[in-house]
Amino acid sequence: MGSPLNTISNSNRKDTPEQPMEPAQHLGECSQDQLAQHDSTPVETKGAEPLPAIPSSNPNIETYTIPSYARWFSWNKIHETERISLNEFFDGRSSSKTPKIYKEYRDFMINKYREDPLKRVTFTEMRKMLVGDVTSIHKVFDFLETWGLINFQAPLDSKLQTSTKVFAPVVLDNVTPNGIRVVSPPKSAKHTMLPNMKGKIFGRKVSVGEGAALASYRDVFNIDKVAETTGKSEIKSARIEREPTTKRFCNNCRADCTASCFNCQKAGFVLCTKCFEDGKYGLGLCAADFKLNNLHQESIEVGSDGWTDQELLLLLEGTLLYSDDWKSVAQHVHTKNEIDCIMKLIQLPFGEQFMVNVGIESNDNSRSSNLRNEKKASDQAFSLKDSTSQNYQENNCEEGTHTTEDDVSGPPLKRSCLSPIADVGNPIMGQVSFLSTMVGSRVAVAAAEAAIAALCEEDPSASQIIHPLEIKSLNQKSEPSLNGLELESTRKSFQLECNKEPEGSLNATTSAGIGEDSKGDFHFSQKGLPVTHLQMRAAIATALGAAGARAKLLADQEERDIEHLMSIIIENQLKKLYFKIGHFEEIENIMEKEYALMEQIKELLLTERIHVIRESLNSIFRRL
Amino acid sequence: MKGAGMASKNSTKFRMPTSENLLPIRLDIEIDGHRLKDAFTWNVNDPDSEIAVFARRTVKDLKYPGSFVTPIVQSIQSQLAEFRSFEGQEMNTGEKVLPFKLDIRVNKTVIKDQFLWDVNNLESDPEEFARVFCKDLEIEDPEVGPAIAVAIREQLYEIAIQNVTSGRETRVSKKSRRDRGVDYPSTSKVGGIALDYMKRLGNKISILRRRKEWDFYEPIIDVLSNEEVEALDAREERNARLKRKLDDKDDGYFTRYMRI
Repeated sequence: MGSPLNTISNSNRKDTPEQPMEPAQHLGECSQDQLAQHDSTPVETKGAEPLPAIPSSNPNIETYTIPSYARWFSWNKIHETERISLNEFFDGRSSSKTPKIYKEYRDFMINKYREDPLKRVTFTEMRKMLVGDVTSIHKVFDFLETWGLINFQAPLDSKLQTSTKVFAPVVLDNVTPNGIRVVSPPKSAKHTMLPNMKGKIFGRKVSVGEGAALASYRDVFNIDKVAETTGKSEIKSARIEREPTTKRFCNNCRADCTASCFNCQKAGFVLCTKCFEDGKYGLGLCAADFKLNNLHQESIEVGSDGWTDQELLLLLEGTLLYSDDWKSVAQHVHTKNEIDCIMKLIQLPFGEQFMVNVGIESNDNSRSSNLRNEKKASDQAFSLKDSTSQNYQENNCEEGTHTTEDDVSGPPLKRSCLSPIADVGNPIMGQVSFLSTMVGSRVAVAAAEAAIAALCEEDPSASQIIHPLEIKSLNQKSEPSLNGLELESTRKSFQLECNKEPEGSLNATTSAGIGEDSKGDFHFSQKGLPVTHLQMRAAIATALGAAGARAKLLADQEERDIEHLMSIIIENQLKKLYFKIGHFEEIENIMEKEYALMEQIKELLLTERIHVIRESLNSIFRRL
Repeated sequence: MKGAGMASKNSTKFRMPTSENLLPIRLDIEIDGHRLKDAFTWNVNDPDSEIAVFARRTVKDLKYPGSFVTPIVQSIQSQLAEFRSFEGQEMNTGEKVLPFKLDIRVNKTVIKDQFLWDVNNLESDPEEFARVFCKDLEIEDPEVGPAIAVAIREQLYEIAIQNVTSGRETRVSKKSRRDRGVDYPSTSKVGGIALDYMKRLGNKISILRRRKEWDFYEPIIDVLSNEEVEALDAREERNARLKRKLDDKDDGYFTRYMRI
């Protein structure tokens, strides 16, 4: 008994698995004497010696084919063959290789194979599912395969199974290193292959959902998209799915008329618009029979989610008109519901601005009208100032900032020289006002808004100052009076400036400022909510700051004036002196001339005197 | 059925715990811009004269300059000598099942795999494993099989070295450890390790691996395109150069002079 089996086991080891028939011969010969009894599981056997098939009495039992030389196999027992071939499991030298474990390996492998007898199981598949030393698992596998308990009916040619084979080599599409996913820009209907996700994707195509990437302008506005045959995109459920479009060809000229075609119900005719107009109806059909099928007209222009340009326009208008009231917006855009509107708005590249603008301001309509005003009247200084003054009327404390900036920037054309206001009480405010003079008013307004928003985010108390709506304060009565005093002082300072300031534009703005101030009182009571201490302080501080700035400006102006006048005076004085000197010189000249005259006269007189005396002497001499 | 008796602690002389005593040899030589990167197995029983013959033939086949011969010979000899230095010692041969990792790139094929291997099984055969691997996964590149075998052998070698007279502390070179990237448990709980892998809830032993681990233990193969291969090659060269610089700084002294 020993030797034939020994030879069998030896040949088992050294034979390659492609030659299972050799041991079969051996066993076939000795099968008669040495085999154990038939196992209880009904199996059909075939092989070198065909045995009579065992009729299965129970139709529910599955039958599997094993070669005749494997007849010894029994589910419940471990045969000598096994014991000898795989002795490492049976000699007790390792606690992880016990007969029990061997049996489990064996049973698992055979069951796995029998799940699909026509499919070849490979060792690599097996070993991933089993724990244990791969060498010993491999031994068991080899053993079972040699004995035909595994892969007996599976074709040797593995090429037949490439379709079902799990480990198809993955071919990389993109040249990217492991671990980095390259996601192509989303074109919603296009399927891209994810590169090299750890080998999980064996040649399957996986589509990249649009939600994975940011929506771009193109996608949202669907600029160059044409009606596609598979109009589905895996995006959020609120999107409307486009109905799949089918290509249609004109029966006459075979032109593509998917877009708009004329359908004839009677004859199943399809005509493109051209042919219809030309009158090529064909086959005695008349114009009445044709119905314009403009189903797909919209779909061409339609975005990926069914928003036409018209609807977009309506949506934007609606947002401007009824900013927060989504119901009215949805009504405005007749065809879309609220959720769609909101989502579309979010996706628009600038949609957020609308949302933000809409949310912050309390008086939204005036804000939007304000914006519109600003846009229209950018070159007209007056309307600009109107809008800024509107600004003032709406927001209480924002005014301070606005005042400084917008006042200074109000007449930017008239100020040719702008110097940074270095000496203002608050140097930051000075910088801000200087900067605001450099840019247009719109920019300044936007910057102010942004700054306020940032401040609100950072410091919750700041939001109290700036958004008085949300606050309830304590000292209601004292504050307005305090405010009134402060306003008085500011008003006075403004008036002073008004008097000094010759420029009319500033007047307008200061008057606007005054208007604001005067209305400020009303505004407090109008709004019905009292103003907090902080607000007061802030208002006062800003007002005083503004006044200080103004004063400094005016003082400089005055100084220049003074200097100018001084120079004039000095000039005049010099002129006077010049004249005087000239005058004196003239007089001197005259004097000299007179003196010369006088001398002459003197001489004359002298000569006359001499003459007279001589004559008198002469006369005396004659008498004698 | 509980295991009959404890696992025996046989000791044998140090050798590669495989059916054939083949030593994994790795060459990485760079001269004058030519780079020779190779890995193969060497039969320790071959006479030393064979080394020179082999080196010369390799250089001739690859058409590399003759200056390569000497470094090749030296490298092989040093690795052999290292092996021989362990030879006289005893090592444990109780069963020891450890996880092995494959993370190799051969020409265009990248392979990542994990499996358990009994490192003290003197009849294990990495070549056979590699052969079955390639056949099952239908890998066409004939260089992959030997690469897998060498990778397994290297890991086995590492463990065998650690196995030897575990009282002594031999410093495994940073180079090789970095290359292999395998972490080995330092204790040698004979026979217990394998059972640990099989344990499930309530100490019930099951040979069936948990389903979620199936993917982990499945081999992953990628076939790369040419550009990717070039890119990876360039990267590896850069890394190798950096490593070499580091090694020259840190390890040179240790590996050459501190190995007792």
